[in-house]
Amino acid sequence: MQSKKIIFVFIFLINSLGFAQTGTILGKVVHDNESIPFVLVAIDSLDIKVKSDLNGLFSIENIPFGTHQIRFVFTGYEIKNETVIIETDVLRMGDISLNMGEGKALNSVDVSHKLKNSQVRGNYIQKMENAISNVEYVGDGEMPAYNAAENLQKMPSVTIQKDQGEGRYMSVRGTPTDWNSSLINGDRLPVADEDSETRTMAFDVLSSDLLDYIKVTKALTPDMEGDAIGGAVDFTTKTSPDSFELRINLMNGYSTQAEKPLYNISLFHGSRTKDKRFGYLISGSLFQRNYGTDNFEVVYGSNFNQGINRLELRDYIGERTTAAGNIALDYTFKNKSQIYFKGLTGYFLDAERNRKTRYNYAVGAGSTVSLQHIYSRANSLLYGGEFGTNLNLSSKWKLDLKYAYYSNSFEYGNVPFGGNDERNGYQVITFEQYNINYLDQVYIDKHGNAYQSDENGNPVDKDGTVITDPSLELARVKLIGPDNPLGNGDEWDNIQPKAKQALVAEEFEFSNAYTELNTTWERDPLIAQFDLSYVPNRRVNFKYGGKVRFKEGYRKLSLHEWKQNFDVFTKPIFLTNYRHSDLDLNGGFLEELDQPYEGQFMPFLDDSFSDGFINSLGDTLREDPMNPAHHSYYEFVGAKYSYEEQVYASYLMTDYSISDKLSFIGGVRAEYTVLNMWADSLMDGDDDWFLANVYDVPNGGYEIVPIDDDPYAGELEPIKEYTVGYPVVEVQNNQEYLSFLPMLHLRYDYSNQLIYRLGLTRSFRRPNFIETKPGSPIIDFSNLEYNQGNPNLKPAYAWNADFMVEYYMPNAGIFSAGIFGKRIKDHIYRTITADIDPQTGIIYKSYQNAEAPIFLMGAEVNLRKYLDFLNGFAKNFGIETNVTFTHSEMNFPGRSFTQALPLQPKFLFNGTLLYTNREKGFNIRLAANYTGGYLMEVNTSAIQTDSGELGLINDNTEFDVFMKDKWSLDFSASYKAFKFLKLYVECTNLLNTPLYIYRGQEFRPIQVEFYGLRLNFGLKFDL
Amino acid sequence: MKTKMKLKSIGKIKTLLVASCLVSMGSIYAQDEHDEYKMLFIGIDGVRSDALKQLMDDDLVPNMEALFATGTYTFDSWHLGITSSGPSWSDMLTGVWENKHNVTSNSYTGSDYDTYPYFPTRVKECRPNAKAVQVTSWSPMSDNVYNDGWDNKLIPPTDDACALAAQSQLIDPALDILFVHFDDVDAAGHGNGFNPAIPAYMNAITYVDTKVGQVIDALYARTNFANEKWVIMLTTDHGGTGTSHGGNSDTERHIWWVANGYGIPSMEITGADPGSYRFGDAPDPELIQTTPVLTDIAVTAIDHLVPGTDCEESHKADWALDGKSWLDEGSLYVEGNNFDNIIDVNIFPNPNNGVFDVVVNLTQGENYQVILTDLAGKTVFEKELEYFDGYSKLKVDLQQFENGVYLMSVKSGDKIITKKVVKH
Repeated sequence: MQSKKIIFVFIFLINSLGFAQTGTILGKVVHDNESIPFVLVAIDSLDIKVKSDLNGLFSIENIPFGTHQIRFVFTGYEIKNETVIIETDVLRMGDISLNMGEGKALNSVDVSHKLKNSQVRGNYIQKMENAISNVEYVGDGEMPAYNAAENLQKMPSVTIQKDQGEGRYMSVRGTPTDWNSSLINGDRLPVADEDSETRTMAFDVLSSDLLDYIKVTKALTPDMEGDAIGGAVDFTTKTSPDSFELRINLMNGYSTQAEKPLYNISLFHGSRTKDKRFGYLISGSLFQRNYGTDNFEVVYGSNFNQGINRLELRDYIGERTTAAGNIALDYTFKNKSQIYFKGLTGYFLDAERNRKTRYNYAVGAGSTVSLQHIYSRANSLLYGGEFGTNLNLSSKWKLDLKYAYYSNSFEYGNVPFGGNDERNGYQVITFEQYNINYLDQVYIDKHGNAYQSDENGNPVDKDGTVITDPSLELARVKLIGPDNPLGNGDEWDNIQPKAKQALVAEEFEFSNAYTELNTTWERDPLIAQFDLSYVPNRRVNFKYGGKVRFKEGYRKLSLHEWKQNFDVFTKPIFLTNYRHSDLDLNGGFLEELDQPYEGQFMPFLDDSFSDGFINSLGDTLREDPMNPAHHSYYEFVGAKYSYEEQVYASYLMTDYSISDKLSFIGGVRAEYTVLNMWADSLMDGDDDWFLANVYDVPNGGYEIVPIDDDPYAGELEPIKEYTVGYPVVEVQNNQEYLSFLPMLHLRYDYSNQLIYRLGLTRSFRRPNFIETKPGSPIIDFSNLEYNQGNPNLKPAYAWNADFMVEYYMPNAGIFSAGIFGKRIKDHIYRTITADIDPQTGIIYKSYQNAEAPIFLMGAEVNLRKYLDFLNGFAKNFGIETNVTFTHSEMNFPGRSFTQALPLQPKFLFNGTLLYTNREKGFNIRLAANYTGGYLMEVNTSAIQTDSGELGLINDNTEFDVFMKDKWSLDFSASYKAFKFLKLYVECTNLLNTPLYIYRGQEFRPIQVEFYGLRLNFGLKFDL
Repeated sequence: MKTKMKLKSIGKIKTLLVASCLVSMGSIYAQDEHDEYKMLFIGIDGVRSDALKQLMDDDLVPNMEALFATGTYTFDSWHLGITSSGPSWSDMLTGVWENKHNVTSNSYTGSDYDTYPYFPTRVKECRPNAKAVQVTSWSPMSDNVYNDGWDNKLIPPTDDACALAAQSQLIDPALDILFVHFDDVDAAGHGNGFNPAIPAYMNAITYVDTKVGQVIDALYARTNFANEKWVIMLTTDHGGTGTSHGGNSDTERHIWWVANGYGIPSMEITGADPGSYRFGDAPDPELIQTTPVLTDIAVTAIDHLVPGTDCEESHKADWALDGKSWLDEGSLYVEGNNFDNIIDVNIFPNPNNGVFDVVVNLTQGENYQVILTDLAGKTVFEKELEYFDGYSKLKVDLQQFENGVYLMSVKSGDKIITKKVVKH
């Protein structure tokens, strides 16, 4: 390094000294105080052509002293000519303002125009890029800033997975979210959320107020992080403005669905010194809104039949708060070198109440109905920043250096004990009515004949005679739809449990209470990057760079339980003995399905009372903390893990314009990954266990000691005796792999408007941490699921071929079409099994590499056009639309047929109709979105066959899990009444199509969730 | 998840032996009259009768089969209440039905064990120094029960651990009553389905049989076993259907038990369905006196453990126990059925109005002779059946005969079985 530095300095000196009679021009191309990137800046007499950078800045070096004419060209704007006289080393031109086309000079700034301008900018960045990508400016929010995913949804080929109606994960071309990377200023951010099953950041925490623009890359270039098979989305945070700015936005709206107001406050301040060298910005925003969701879920009990174990009705009401802060500083040196700092923080709080009514056809306690009071305050905190410099070493050499640090963490807030009590978590309090005799079940005998239940729940034949023949081996199951051989199965939208006895509020008694505990964090303490670029002439750009990222993370799930203390109180603790009231259904439950459960809801404890329930019952409840005496202690052994990952990446690439029409990017990226994970493993082999006593040793914590070697016998009272001890050992998973990623892009400019692009790239997907976790499986307590990591899992590699044709039209119009194909080796997929261990019915999930390569092929068409070539009313309309079609095939081991790739929809559509009247300040938008149905999970339950081998129970898709296709329609409009005041109305989810997950066939719902129509209206003040 | 363990380590048992011997040598236990009378009660949660029969036919549950072969057993034990574990085990361990002990669900709330305690509490009224221990992995049965008479309640986390804990208890010479409860068959039923057609459920029963064997071997290995008067009782609490139980169907209510040991003859007891408290009508009071039911377990246990004492006499009047003892003389046994030559015959419905079906659970057809006699020994029905198999049904009509109890014998070669049929 030492010697390199000297060389750089040397080169720098030569450049400075050798051409003393030349000067440098610096400037910035702007429109309405917003910078315009990729503007062609040309001095025709010298045959010099440069482009402005993303911030509109440009520099032309080595210009001989004298008078020159500079031409600024950018489609959609008027060509501008400026004459300059070079007399000094550096000529600062300051801001060069371009005007919109058609000779119209704009004398006022209005927001609708800005928005349009943003699209123009986005379009041209896209046009100028040599790789296949789309760019969109976030612009100034018309609407409340939900999170970055909401902006992303407007972009072509991008789909969003939602949680409670708000975007959480994104994917390019509908590919599985794990295949995609979300980047902030080029870095993949650490991930920490409630589930933390992925490396893909949940957007909950990322407010769109932080963002400047979003770039979606479909085919990677070597200077980007290579673990993105599907695509990459890069969010660039806001940078300092060019002059003093102070903006305060106050937005106040009303959400009809939750029947609650919403608030959005944001503050932006930035400035730049007179010499334009030092700029800063500081911004912050706070957004608060409420939601209400109706949902029902069905749990199927077996891999052998389609019987229903449970119907669950969920009424969610919640409040979400997003707070974000942003700071940026930059300083530009004489030679246009720059140093900068960018910092951001995001905080997300989801205070969610969930009232569940569960009809349990089959649980250990027989058939019951239970009422669950759930309250959690889940919160995430993301913060970090980067410090870097862009050095102009000479006119030909540039060096960018960057150091970044990011941290992300998740925890449950102060429920139920407040403060930092370590028992705080996801609180569940359950009341139950026992001995329910469900009469809506059928009996199936061993020959497949069906019998209905009589008024006592006994099987009867057609004549009403009770069937008592024991040799029929009857099975009683709740079957719906066509599954029910009697032909009277419930329809999916009206599954009605029918009990012999009436449900009576007074019969519900306390069953148990618990908090789920969750501590999750991940941070990247070191992200260091350098990019060295060498431009020997204007046609060629060589880039060489490297990146080091250290990542560390930790996750621990646990449980704290409370049970009735029979030493104190043996009577039932009835719900109706406490403050309770009818469930607030916000005007109805599942109105979309004509309220099938109207009038059937039981009262629940008042919120204020259920929050303090555990405390108020005192020693009537017995605490059962998670320690070796807890009955589930060994089930949680795998629920804690930590990891460290180091990635060392390097790349070499060239961007070469072979001619004015043909250019290419070629290069290679190598990433070396070192992963170490630590987790606990339960040694439960035949000879590993021992009979044990458990002690709470003063000052020594909990100890499990073998009974036949008990050092505390006679000294301490065991908190549990004659239990079983297992050795728990820490295991480590070490993986190291080198990923070699060649990439090639060709671009052919047939004309100014028509561009062909071809990409051939290799990319990969690192396994998620949960997927390679060693040791015992992770328990998901509430859903009775185990997640077994596979330390032998390999990363998946993809060869990607992309071909695109783009036709650019004036004023941000674009038509593009393309085809793409991917060949993925070692594709990582999830398996679900329910019966590996015959002792349980719990679902195990694990991860496998596909044995054979899988193929994915698709085609896409995008169109964006404003009808400004028309006259009158019609010219204010615009259309943005795109369609993606994907075909994929995969064979799951043991299946005799191929299936589509899990999580990959076949068909995607986005269509937006815009109406923009700049003069009157109107902006109206109607957006439709269609996401085709797709396979979610493959049921790979296997059982020992007669030949002794494991065989799949179901060589069909009847037990697989699918997502149904979904249409959505959103409407928004804003009207600028005064310069400082805007009215807006937003009506999203107009169709209110449910999230619909089903088993095998659509008549077998697993999860059906309605978010309701969200109507927000309000005022926005721009101060 | 319940982690499965298998017992292979003999060394582990040896160290246990040493440890336990050391403990017991330290205290010379007090003695009561009758303290040679002892009971091992093994309960397996959720084993359907037909599933157990099928596994015994296939010789897949040798340890349980051995108890049946030389003991008194029934496949006609009827559940008269809620077929959930909490109420069921309470019926068996208190000797009274749920209208008295008040346990109606697995929550155990509202219980009245103060008035109707577990049978060890009663035994201790005559044998105050009796030592009783319970071993179960199902914690509510330990945490939520009181006045149960257990000197120690162990809650090992798995069936494997329960078996081992039971073994360690059986080393203790002072032990008088041991209740071991195995829960994993029920778990397999809930997870996969309670049905002989579901391998996961059947595997769970074959597996628990090895645990039963382990416990019984430990019993036979007691140092003073030859001088002790042990009775082993083995039963289930309810059957199941689909992935649940708790209901009123016959597959949930119609269960089995077996007793083996000191003074227990080799025979089968049969009986007709007395009805259930859950049907609204009270069960038939006469049939309750003749048919095996759950509450008989505690009363039979008390009878064995305190023979000829006040305790044995007082259960009806003072303790208001509902069950009956099968050690009492004069009960309406059906003697003579030989387990080795058993024919699996089912009669349904039973009781009936005189019209009922007879089915034989056999895949291959055989020739049978069916003879029905009244209690006086007079033949009222006789029929030869050729190639009768599991798909065949014999319809019998006794409508012209008087109501009452009849004995039906089914013979094939040297195999014979006799069952009681009740005509209302």
